Amino acid sequence: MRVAVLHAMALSLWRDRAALALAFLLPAVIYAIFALVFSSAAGGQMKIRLAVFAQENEISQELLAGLRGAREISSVINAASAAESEAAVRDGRADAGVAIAFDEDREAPVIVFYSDATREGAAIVAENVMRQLAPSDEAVAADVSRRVINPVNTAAPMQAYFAAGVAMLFLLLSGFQSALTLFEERDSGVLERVAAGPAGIAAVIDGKFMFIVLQGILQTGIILLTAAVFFNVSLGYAPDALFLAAFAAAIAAAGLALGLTTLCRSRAQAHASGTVISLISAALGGSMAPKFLMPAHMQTIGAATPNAIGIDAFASALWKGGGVAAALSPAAILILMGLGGLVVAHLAARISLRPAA
Amino acid sequence: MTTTTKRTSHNRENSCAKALTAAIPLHVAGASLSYGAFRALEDINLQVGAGEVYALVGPNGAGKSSLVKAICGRAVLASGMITIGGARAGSADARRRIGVAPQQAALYDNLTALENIACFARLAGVCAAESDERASAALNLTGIASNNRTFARRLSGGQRQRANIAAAIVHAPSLLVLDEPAASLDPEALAETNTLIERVRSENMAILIVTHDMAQADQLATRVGVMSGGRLIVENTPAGLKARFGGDGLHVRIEADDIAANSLALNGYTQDRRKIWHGRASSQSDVAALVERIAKNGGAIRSIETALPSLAGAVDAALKELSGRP
Repeated sequence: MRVAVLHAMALSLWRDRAALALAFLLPAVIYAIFALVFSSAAGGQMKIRLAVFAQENEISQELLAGLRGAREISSVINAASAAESEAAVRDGRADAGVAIAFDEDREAPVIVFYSDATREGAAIVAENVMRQLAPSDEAVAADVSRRVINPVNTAAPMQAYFAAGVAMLFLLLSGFQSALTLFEERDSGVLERVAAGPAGIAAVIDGKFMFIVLQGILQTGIILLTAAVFFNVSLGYAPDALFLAAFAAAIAAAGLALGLTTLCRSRAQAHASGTVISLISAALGGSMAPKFLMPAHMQTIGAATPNAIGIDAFASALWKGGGVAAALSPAAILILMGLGGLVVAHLAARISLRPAA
Repeated sequence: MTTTTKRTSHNRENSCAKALTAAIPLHVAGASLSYGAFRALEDINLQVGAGEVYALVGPNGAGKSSLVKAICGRAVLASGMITIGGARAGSADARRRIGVAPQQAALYDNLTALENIACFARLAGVCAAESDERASAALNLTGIASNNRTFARRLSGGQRQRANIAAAIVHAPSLLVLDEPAASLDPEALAETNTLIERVRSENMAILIVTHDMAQADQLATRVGVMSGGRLIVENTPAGLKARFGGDGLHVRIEADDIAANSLALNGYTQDRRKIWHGRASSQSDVAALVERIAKNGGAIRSIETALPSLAGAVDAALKELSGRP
C-alpha cells in the first residue's frame, strides 16, 4: 500500500516538468550560484576594479604596471586627476581608487587609497597589492593613507548597506507571498464572482498591486527604523531620496511578483518560482554580500537584478550620497520594472486565473 | 444613401431588440459557442423572467457551465446573443445587473461576514458610503445578520452558503446565477438554502440555478431546462416534464428471487446491475395483482417500493429519448 503511494508520487513528479526541474535541477543551479558568489567573498579570488590617477614619474609608472598585472585587480581605470578617480569610485565604476602624487620636496610618492564607505575592503586589497609590488626603496617609503568617501557621514555604512539589501530581499519575498493569494481566490471562487461583476479581474490585480506597494513601503520603513535605532544608521541625509527609493523598490517588487505569479499555472509552481527567484536575485544583486566580493561576470549579471538596482537607489540616501538626483535613475528603472510586471500580470491573468468552467 | 438606410434600419432593429429584451432579466437567443472544433453550445434559446427560478440540469459536459460563462460575459459567442436586462452579456451594464454565487462559498476567510459582503458590494460598483448598509440588508435578507461579526472561516456550511448568496445579491442584481447551490450541504443546510432562494425570488429577482440536485430543481424551479451535448433539448415546468417523460401511474422497485424473474420480465420490468427490478404500474391494485401472481408461481419478493414519477426519472427519460443517451 505504501509503495502504491510512492509510485503515485513519483509518477506525478515525473509528469510535472516544472516541479521536476524545481526538485532536481534548481538545487544544483542555486548551489553553483552561491558557490561562485560566496567563495570569492571568503577570500582567495577577490578581484577589484581600481581607478588610478598617477602623476608622471618613473616610480608611479612601475607601480601602475604592477597593478595592471596583479591578479587581484580585474580592471584599471585611468583617471586624469585625483578628482576623476574619486568620481569613478563614487558612481560605482570602480570599487576603489588610488592617487599617486609627488611632493616637490620629497622623492617618495604620496599615495592615497579611497573607497566607498561600504567597500573599504576593496581599498585594503589594493593597498596590499601595492605594498607587495613596491619596486623600489622610494616606493616602500611612500606616505600611504586610506580615506573613505563618506558624504552621508554615516557611522555605520555596512549596516546601512545591509538595511537596503535586506529590504530588497524581503520586498520580493513578501511580494510573491501576497501575490499567491490570487490562486487562493481563484480556487475559492472569489475570482469567479468578481470576474462576472463590473470590476473584473483587473480590479483584483490592481488592488493587490497597490497593497503590495503599501506593504513594501511599510516594511522598508520598519527595517530602516531598526537600522537607525539599533545600529546608528543615519536616515537624515536625504529623506526624500530614501522615500523615492522605498517607493520605487516596492513598485518593482509588486509588479514583478504579480507578473511572475500570473505566469504560473498553480500555487505550488508560483510559490517555488517566487522563492527561488527572490533568493537568486538576492545573492547576485548584493543583498547577501556586497557585489564587489563576487567574480566580475557575476557582478555584471547581478547588476541587472532588482536588488542591485534597489541598493543603488538606497545608497544615494544612506552612504554614497547624491540625494534624489542620484536616486532618480535607479528608481526610474525599478518603477519601469514594476509597471512592466503589472502589464504582464494583467495579460497573463486572463489565462492563468481563469476560473474553472 | 444606401449605407444610411441600412444603418438606420440596423439601429431600429437594435432599438426594437433592446425594447423587447429590456424587461427580461435573462434572454439567450440562438447562442452558440465553440472551443476550437468542439461545439460547447449550439443554438441555445431561453428566457428567465423576473421572479422566476430557472433550473439548468443535465449530465457533466452537457454545456451548463459554458452557458453560465457566456451569460457572465466570460466567453465570446460564435453566434447568437445574450442580454441581461437588455444589456449585452459582458458589457458594463450587464455586469452590474448580474450576481454570481459560485459553487464554493467564495468568501475571504479572515474577513467577517459583514466585511466580506461590503467588500463584494464595492467590487460590484456600490459606493463606499452605502456598502455597509447594503451589506447589512443582504445579511438580513439571507438570515445571517446575527453572524455579521463572525469571521467567514467560522461560519457553518449553511451559513457560508447564505453569505455566498448575500454577496451575490448585495448590489440588487436583476439576475442571480447560482452554481450548484446544493453541493456539499447537509439536508438541514440544503432546506435552509432552498427557503432562502424562495425568499430571494419573492424579491422579484430572476434566478438561474445550475444543479444536479433534481429534488431542489423540483422544489424551486418554475421551469427546468435539460441540456445535453451543448443543446437545450427540452424546457418545461417540473410538472410538465414529469407529465411528458415521467410516464403514467407508479414507478415500482422490486427485490425478488430468481423464480420471480420470469413474471417480472413478462410484465415489462427490467433489472439493474444491483439485481433490482424496475417497472411501471397504473395503480396499487395492479401491483398487488403482480405480487399475487409471483407468489402463486412460487417466487418470493424481498422488498417492494412504489413512487410517483420523479423529476430525476423524467429528466433521465428525456435525455434517453431526445439525445439518445443510454
